[in-house]
Amino acid sequence: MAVIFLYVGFLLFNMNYGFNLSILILSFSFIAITVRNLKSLVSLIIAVILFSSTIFIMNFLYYTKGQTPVNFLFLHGTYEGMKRGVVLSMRASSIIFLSVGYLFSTDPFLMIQSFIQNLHIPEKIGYALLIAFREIHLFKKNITNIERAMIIRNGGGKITLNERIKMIVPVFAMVVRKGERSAIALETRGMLLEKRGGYYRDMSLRSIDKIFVIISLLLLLVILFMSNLLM
Amino acid sequence: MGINVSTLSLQIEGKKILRNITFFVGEGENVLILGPSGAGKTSLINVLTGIIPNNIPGKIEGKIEIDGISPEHQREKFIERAGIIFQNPDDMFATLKVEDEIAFSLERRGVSPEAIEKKIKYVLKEMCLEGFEAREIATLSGGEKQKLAVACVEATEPKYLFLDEPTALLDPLSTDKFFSFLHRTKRQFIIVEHKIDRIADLISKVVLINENGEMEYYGKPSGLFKSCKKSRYYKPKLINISCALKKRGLIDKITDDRGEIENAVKKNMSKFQKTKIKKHIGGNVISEIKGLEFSYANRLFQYGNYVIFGGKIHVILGNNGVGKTTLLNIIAGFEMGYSGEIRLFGSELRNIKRDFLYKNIGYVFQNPETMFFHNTVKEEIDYMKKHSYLNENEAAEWLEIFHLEKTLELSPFNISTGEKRRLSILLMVLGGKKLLLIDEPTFGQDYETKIKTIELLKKVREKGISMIVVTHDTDVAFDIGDFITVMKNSGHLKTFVKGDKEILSELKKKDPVIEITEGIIKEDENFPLLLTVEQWEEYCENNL
Repeated sequence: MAVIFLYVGFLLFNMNYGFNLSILILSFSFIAITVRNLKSLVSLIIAVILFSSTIFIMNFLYYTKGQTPVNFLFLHGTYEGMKRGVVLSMRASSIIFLSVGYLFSTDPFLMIQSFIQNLHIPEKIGYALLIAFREIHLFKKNITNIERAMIIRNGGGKITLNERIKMIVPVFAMVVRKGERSAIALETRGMLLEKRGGYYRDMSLRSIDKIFVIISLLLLLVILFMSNLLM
Repeated sequence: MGINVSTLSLQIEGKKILRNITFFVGEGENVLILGPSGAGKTSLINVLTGIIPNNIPGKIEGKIEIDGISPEHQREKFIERAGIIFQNPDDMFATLKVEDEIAFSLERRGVSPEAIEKKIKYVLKEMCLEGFEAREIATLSGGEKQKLAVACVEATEPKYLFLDEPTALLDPLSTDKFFSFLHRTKRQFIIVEHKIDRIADLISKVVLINENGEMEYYGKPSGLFKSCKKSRYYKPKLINISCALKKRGLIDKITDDRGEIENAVKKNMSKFQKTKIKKHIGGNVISEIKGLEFSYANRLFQYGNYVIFGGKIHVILGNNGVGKTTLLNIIAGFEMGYSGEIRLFGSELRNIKRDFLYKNIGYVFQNPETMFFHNTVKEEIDYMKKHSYLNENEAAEWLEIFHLEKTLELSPFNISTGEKRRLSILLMVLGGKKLLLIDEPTFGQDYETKIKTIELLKKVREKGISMIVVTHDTDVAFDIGDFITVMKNSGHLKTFVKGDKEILSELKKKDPVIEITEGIIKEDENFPLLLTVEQWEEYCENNL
């Protein structure tokens, strides 16, 4: 996670083409390895192309500091805007690929365990996050049912803004109760006992993790150096 | 040693919940806590486990000691010797995978990672969940989740188990597996449970709490169960049947022995007039389903054909996860990606306008709270009146039938479970709907509330409203169903008219009442099909 933050951090402060292109290639390789489902991968690439194209076009057409007119296909923009658009769309694509790749390659439970064991965040917060993660699908199902109940009750009419506001009542009631019940259950299961004899999932840094961090940093430095050298 | 409760009283927000409760649980004894809905059974478990006042505020008077330990003040010592299982296993889980969930409790008790690994394998084997270590909890069925909850508790080797309606949300098959565990376990347990038949032989003592929170009975189960005078809701079903038979002089003593009841009936066969229960056949068809198929979550449900008659109750009986709710969602127009034909009120569902559909179709959700949006019960009712074509008189008539006068100024979220269920059905009938789709109407309810809900649905039928009720509860199915459809895995439907004995061969898990009737019918096929306690009592009352 730290490595991804570092890469994103460097991306945000670097307008160099070579650097952005290298990170884009690297992040795309990352996503190609982590997202195994071809359909999901294609959908993601299409979404990213659409998003980055929009960024490119907006910059090409409306970059206020652009002075050199250029025609690209049927669009009339500026050369400066085009340069900026290319870098920003590569940057946005890289950030999306890195984030999605991280989501696909990380087990949320292990991540929270790592936070608890290595960053020493309180267990209460860690497990609260996990329970919230577990409940996302249930929450979605509840909202769907509540919306359906509203449609049935108002005889198939459109749900008014006032009715949408009222729907918050049952959603809120369910979430609060669920939170209360889970907190009680975890305490009765020994959440507050402090006789720990070790972690079942040991998340301390292994040699391979250290090697990964070193290689990632070296790669970043090489890309930075090469991109500056070539420009 | 043991559990000592002396003159225990509990007040929550100024309201007296429990009054002067005193009982003792000795070594090796198991206790069953009984009482009507809202009597304070769950509160008693919460007090015994220190959840009140540590997690839920409440004022306790009197003394509670568990092996000399106060669950309120010596929290850690108590938790180390107690295992608590709640109604909904989902509330107990904090992680995503089976093995991590079991490890959670063990890590906090100082067990080493190596020992945790061995323990996980052992308890999963004990609970018939071998090979489930890496399974995502979200992919488990309701029964598997409850088994996992038990495995988590068993792994910590508690001396006492505190069980609060652990089978309330389970289907008959999963319920059966849970009770098998209770028969095997070496732990002592205190349980709140309504399926008394399944547990009566394991119980040493019974605590019966009345609606005022007072202890109405404390002692051996036989003192409560073997008397016909005390409330019928707190006895094994077979005792109620033997009471009905004894009243007619057909059996000498009150018993819950299946063989004795069966023999008593067989001896008096001539007195049974062999009155057949009327079969309801047909009526006007209001809706018809042909060749229905639907894919959902990588599963194909092949429902096939189904007919809905006007003014009848159609029950769909099946275990959790076979596709009952999905079928209701399709009929309600929530899932339109089906293949086949669904004709509702004369038109194909795909072509029906949304306002026409939802003026005629009502849906009572499994969780009634899903349907409440207002601050008071009165506001909920007024909202429905605004969206209904019923006149004031018709609405007033429904309000009288549903008996919710006392709750009008209360929040719908703060009324009892039974009242919530009644309100959710009332809202639909007030909307003037002609066909009600009802999802598990007795889900998580005690016996008394369940019977009241059943009676209410019969009154709704009397007004000519058709219903499709999905349930895994055979009492509900056989008491109210004019047509009973058994749904198998993959959604396959097989429908039986009320009174059709063929249905017996379709039921995998039978309760003792059904087993008795089936045993008698095997010898005399003309014996009436009495499948619930209420049917036995009614038959004895009217025909013997």
